[in-house]
Amino acid sequence: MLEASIIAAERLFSPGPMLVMLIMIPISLISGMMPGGNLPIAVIVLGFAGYLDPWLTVTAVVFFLAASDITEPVPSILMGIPGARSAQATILDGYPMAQQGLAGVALGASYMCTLVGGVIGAAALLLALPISRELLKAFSSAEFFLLSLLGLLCVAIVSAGAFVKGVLTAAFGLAIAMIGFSPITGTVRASFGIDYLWDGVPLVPIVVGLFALPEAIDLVVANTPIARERLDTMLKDANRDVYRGMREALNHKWLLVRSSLIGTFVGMMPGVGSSAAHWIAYAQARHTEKGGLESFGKGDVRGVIAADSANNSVDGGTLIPTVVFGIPGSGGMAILLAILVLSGVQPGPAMLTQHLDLTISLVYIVAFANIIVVPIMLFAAPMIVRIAAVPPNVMAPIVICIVTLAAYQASYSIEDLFLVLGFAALGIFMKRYGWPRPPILIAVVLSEIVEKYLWLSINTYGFSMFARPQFLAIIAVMVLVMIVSLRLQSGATTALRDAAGAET
Amino acid sequence: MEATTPKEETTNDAPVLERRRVRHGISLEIIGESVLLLLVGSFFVYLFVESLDWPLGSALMPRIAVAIGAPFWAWRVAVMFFQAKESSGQIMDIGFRSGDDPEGELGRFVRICCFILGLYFAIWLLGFHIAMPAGILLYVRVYDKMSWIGSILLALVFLGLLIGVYDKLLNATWHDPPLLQWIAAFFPQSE
Repeated sequence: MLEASIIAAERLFSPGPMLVMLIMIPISLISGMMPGGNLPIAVIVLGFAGYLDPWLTVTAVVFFLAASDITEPVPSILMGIPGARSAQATILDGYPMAQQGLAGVALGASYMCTLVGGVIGAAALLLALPISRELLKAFSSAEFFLLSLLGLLCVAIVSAGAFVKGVLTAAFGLAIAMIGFSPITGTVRASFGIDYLWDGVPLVPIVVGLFALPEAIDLVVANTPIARERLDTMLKDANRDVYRGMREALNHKWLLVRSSLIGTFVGMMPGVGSSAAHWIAYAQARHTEKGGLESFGKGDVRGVIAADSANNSVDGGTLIPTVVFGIPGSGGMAILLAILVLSGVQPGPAMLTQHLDLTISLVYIVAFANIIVVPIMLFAAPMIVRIAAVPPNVMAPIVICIVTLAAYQASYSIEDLFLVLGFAALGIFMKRYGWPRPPILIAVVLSEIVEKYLWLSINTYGFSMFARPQFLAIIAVMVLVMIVSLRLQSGATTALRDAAGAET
Repeated sequence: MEATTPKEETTNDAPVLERRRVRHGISLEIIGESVLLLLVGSFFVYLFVESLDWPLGSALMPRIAVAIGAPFWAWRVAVMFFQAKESSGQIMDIGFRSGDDPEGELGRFVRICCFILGLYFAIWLLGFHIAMPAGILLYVRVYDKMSWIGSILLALVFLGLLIGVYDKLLNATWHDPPLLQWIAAFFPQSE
């Protein structure tokens, strides 16, 4: 492990990856300000996967996912608009602080949470590696089949708080993934007689259609206007007392550490992820901090600290099931998994044996991303803030064009654009009627792995694989994880309702 | 309780409008989700029927997917038609946001969808280098009321991105737009 750590450091801090990270810094900072901006940008990076060395592509995506967290709270604090789902809890105290002229304090606290939370998440990932290695030695193809399938179902069950829709979506995603050549026998399946579908449904058009276009549409539909005259006031406030905010966060170090640990733990639960982590951390702080029930929601910096620490530590947590078990817990992790698979790196035991240096480099990237963006934000915040003020009618057509290019460049096929339109229609319906979309993406990414492990297991063990002790132990653990995840989701929903009730 | 006269139903009174929207909303909800369920159900049926002709290695996983999905599909259909309330926590995947101008939402939704469809049609017909800069220029000029100079500049920046990054750096391969082919057919080059 020490040797792998040294190799990882040497490879990471070499010109290629450093240049990639340098390029990703402004992209990460900007995307964090855009509602729904995280996934479309990840898709664009995915589109370049074919041109870059796999190491560089993985570096780009992981750095991007880790670094974009720092700007997500900025529109929440300054304008009361969540930059992303994971910054919603920050609004409750961040925005009142901004209204009281304490925007800089809130932002400073948020930056410190990025630093500490991100490092704690990375440390948790590093600590999990040797434990996971030992655990994986006991697993065979049967267990990996089960892990992949149950991981997918787990995501579906806990996603969106709607059990039936979640499982149905996951099954639909698996069904979509069956289109094309079978990896087992080479038979062409469910192609509707269309030659284009013989290679299956490509991933990038699915992601662009399901996620990027509906988010761009949402941007225009919501059309929240930002008064230009407020912008100057916001910029002035954003710079004032930032260092005081950072000191405030350190004054509440135990809250900071506790919330970071909550974020890491929640991140490890497939399907729960960053969307719920900040709510759960916020709720626990509100109930445990002195005077929290009275002061939270009215401009208490502890509310910002709790939410943002969890928001940043969750990245390390979500990487654990993604990399070790091949169970992505979110759309962003599914894209990372897709990149690993496209690059010929199989998630699972190989990530802890022959690719251990790559896995350890992920730890370094997460930690480095969270450390490097903080000083940059201290200086670049005024410029970054202006991005949030770009009108939706300017932002949306540009985003639409860029993601369309990303969809096209994956295979330079105009038919991909028709597919994008089809999945966009599907994505709009799903978003409108509350059907979770991430399980489709995760199912498409995982399907080949699941199918191969299933066939391997049946040929190796026959149906006796269902009686293997490891198999049964995983079922028991997954049931427990699902129960915990559902309770965490329920807790997050309750926190959301409590906070909404406290506001009114 | 005061009787509600027919006249009140046609006013702009907010509670009346809300009741009317709720009535229409419920039927629209069912229609909309029915479309989704029909699509999913049809695909499950198609996949299962097709799998009957495949060898076991190819058919196993599709049948597992259908076996998992079908009962939940049936459950969802039953729940929807009996209009039982289901939890809508939506932590992981939020629905469309409501902005400050909910009345204009439908118009904006139609507008942006038409832009996307028109853009994709134009890309097919005219190619990326014409369709995308023109689409951006028209959209920001008309709907953001940006000045002509600003709109043209933005379009040119995007064209520069296409040429600089995709053409020069990535050596992208573009499809042949049919309109340009038709024009070329009308004006063949002389030998």
